[in-house]
Amino acid sequence: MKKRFLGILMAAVMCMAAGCGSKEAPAEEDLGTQTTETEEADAVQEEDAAQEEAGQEEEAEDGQASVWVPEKEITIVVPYEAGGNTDIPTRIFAQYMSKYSDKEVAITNIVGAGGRTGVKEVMSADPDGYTFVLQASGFAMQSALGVADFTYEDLDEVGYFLDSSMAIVVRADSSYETLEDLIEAAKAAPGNIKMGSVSGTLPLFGSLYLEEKNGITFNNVDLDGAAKATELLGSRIETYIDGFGAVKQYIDSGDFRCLAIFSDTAPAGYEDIPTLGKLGYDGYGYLKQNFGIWAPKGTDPAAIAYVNNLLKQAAEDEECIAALEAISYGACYTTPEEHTAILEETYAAFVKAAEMIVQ
Amino acid sequence: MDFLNIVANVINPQCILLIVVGVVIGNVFGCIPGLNGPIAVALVLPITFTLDVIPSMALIMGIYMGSISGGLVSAILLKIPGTAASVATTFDGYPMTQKGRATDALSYGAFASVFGGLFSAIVLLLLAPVLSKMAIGFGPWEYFGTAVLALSLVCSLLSGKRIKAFIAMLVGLLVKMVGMSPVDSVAIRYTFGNAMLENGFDLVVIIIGIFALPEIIHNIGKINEKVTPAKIEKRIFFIPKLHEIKENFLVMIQGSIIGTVIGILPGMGGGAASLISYEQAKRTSKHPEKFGTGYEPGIFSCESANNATSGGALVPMLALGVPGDTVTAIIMGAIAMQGITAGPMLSMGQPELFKTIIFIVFVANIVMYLFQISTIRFMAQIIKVPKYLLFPIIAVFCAIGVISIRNSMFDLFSLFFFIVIGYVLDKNGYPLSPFILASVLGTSVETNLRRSIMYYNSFGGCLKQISIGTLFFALAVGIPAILAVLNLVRKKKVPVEEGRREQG
Amino acid sequence: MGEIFFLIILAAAGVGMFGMSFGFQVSRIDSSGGPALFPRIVIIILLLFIAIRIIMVSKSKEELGKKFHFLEIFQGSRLIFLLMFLGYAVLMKPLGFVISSSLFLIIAVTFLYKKQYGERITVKKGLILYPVILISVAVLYYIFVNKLNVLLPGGIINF
Repeated sequence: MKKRFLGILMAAVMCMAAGCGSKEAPAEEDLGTQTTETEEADAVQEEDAAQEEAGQEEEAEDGQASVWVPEKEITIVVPYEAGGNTDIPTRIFAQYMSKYSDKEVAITNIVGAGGRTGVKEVMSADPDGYTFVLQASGFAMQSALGVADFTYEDLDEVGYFLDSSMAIVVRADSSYETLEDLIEAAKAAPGNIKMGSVSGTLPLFGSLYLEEKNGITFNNVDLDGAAKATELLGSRIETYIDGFGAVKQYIDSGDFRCLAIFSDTAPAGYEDIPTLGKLGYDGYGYLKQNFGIWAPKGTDPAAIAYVNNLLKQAAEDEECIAALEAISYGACYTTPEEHTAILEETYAAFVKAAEMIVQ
Repeated sequence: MDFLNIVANVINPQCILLIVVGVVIGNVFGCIPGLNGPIAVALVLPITFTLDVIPSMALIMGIYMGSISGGLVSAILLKIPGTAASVATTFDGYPMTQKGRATDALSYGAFASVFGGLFSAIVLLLLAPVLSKMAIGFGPWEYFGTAVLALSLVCSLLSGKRIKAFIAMLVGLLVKMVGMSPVDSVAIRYTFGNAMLENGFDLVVIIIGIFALPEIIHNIGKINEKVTPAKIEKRIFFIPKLHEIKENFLVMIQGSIIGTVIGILPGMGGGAASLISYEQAKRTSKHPEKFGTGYEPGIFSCESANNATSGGALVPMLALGVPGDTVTAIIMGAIAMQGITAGPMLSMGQPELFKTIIFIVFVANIVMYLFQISTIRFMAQIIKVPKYLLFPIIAVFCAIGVISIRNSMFDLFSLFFFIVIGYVLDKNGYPLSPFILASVLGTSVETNLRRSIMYYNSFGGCLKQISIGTLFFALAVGIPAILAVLNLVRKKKVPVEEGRREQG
Repeated sequence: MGEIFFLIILAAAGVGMFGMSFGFQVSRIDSSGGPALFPRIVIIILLLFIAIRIIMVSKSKEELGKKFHFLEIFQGSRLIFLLMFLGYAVLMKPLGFVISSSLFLIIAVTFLYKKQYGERITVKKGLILYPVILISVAVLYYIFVNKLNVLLPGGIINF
């Protein structure tokens, strides 16, 4: 396996060197599976899609009218940087989707404008069942803040596949033993406890949620997206909220203490950490970091059903669950209808929460 | 015994081959304007899936080291810096090419690169745990102080045209404000309703528009001038002479230290390191007037600095899980895909892996050097390409570089805006390096200023902090102020002479 | 004189941007001084330096007499090259990368050859050069799009 890849790599290098250094035509070897095919079949597909769109509603009511099988690579656009916190779990998951698919499921990164560039690119793509985009929880928030000019209604839902919870952490040597301690301290000195989050991201809403539920105010300070932990390690802030996966290693290393997890159940191996559910909070469902898949509006329901089935199979794959667990993400599965219903609630919740931010 | 294991991990056919492949890919990506290290690393990310941890690190580190050095080729030969990190290399590298010393310039650049790279790898090996403390000690206020001091120093060091330098720098800051406001992520500034501007101007667009294209357009006006073709020596390896290395040893040490320290600080990067190192070398030199005319220390200073940032950037990534630049952020992702999280658990829990990665960096630097010095004579052929072919080809590569950022035609049109700015500033004696540094650091300055205000409630609250940030800020304001006073005093004494110096 | 004119335009732009900073949307929970803070600081310092520079220039006869370099980029072969590049940028999307780049290269090379050597490109040279350009651009497109996953506009041709 490895040898084969080395061969491919060498071929790729020679090809690039030939292409860049001189005018010789490069060797047109098949460079393996990782490349994205161009849309040869697009012209044909486009017509099909137009016809299908007309007959779509009927088909949807009938259930699976036709069985859809991909003829080429399926692309999921990740609208964030390659190698980032969102990209990694998606790539891992896509690998297991490929395992159950007739064709490769590839990841392409189209980065920009907090993920909106990628989504817009897919919104205007052919709804041919070969192009999808990652739906992150951030879009509901951006829409509520008036930054994103699209909502879930402008795309078709395919299903959720990943979830992770947020956690609130303090330094291990801090005097706040429990969430209650922290809230008491905030009550005693309103606006004095420095709570870190990255503006315009979910953790900020987590902080706002705690403020609203307890009638307290934090000093919400903005952190650098890539260097949140250093602020707490350096004692410049008292506490911060981030995805559990991101803070896990500092909990393991004994630098941080986790006060609560924004969820009903604690992740495996961390059962002693209290969850908001156990602490008697409610209505925090929209504060979940979950990822789903969106398709361009008007995609063939049969194609959506096919990809949804891939999501299901991958989410039930033992290896896949283990690989995601290693980086503290949980695989999950919903039907497209459930996906839409959850998004509907989430969007409504964020609209309410956003009223606290924008004047 | 521990050490032997580490060597055995790396010195085996598979690892070495992957490092070589990585270096070649990285070098090609570094050479072509618009392509860069992050793109190359992102491209091989899927391949690393199929490899084990150490081989995948070999490939990625090879690319990382290769891409950082690759930039010097187009900077020296064509005056086109592919990234901010090689902007300073053009200052003396290109004049050397014009004087017919292209191969010399390339060999100096390659040597300084490997020097800086190895220096910072050694520092990384010895001091990672200690240095990571430094990154912890740096909060917003410290970053603000450092960035402002960097901007102020680069302007102040340009004696003779300081006022012009400050104007260029401030215009750079203004240009960088276009788009979504940081920190609040609510306000959208100076976009005039154009959604394409919400993300601001990309640094690559700015660099290509400011440096590469105005240079071509300027040269087209005098395309019919005859130039004697440069001789290209047919050596196999291009290594600087011993006395040249000796003469520039201190400059390289200085550059390497500056590069390593700046690399450790997230968000500063190779661009800031090489510009500051260049100006610093100029200031401490016995012949500052020779800088910019094809003077060797100019190349040695900036190339050692920008490569030293690589080791520096790995310090906080490996020791703390905080990436120092874009590439290290992707590398961290690649490690995460192997089921390993970079951070305190890596250096403490798996010291052997940690040291193996550093050893890979070491080997990758050496491979990169061997590759570069043996390809110099082929690379140098680029300057033999006749201008009527070369200029349009560069223009096409500039276009590719700009489109590849985010597939936006708007970026292509915004190039014209920067061509005019770049041309007007450069040809009227407004230095470009403060402008570029401002576009590299602009967002960081603003973000950290506003975060500091959040932390300490007001700007006055920030100033009351007893911290290195306060000291740096004081220096940033104080140095130009003192220079201005000195200038006024001297002006009164010898008005004529000073007036002439200010022309510069 | 030219430089003073340039500085005045710069100052006017700064004042305009200062005015615009009053219209920025503000977040209610933002305690960082707001989005307008930093632009205002920078503009005020910029205006200060522009003022100093204007005084410096107007006091020095030599500076006043200096020619301001600006218009020459819009003259002669430079203007023609700029226009060619502009045309290239405009046609990139509708025609696609391969066709627009080939067109740009062929026209620019022919034009610059004449400028460099003072004579037209020979038929023989053209017959070698143009096909090489076409093939190289196509190969380049193929490598970037299919091997490097860099998105370039496909336009009319897709491969």
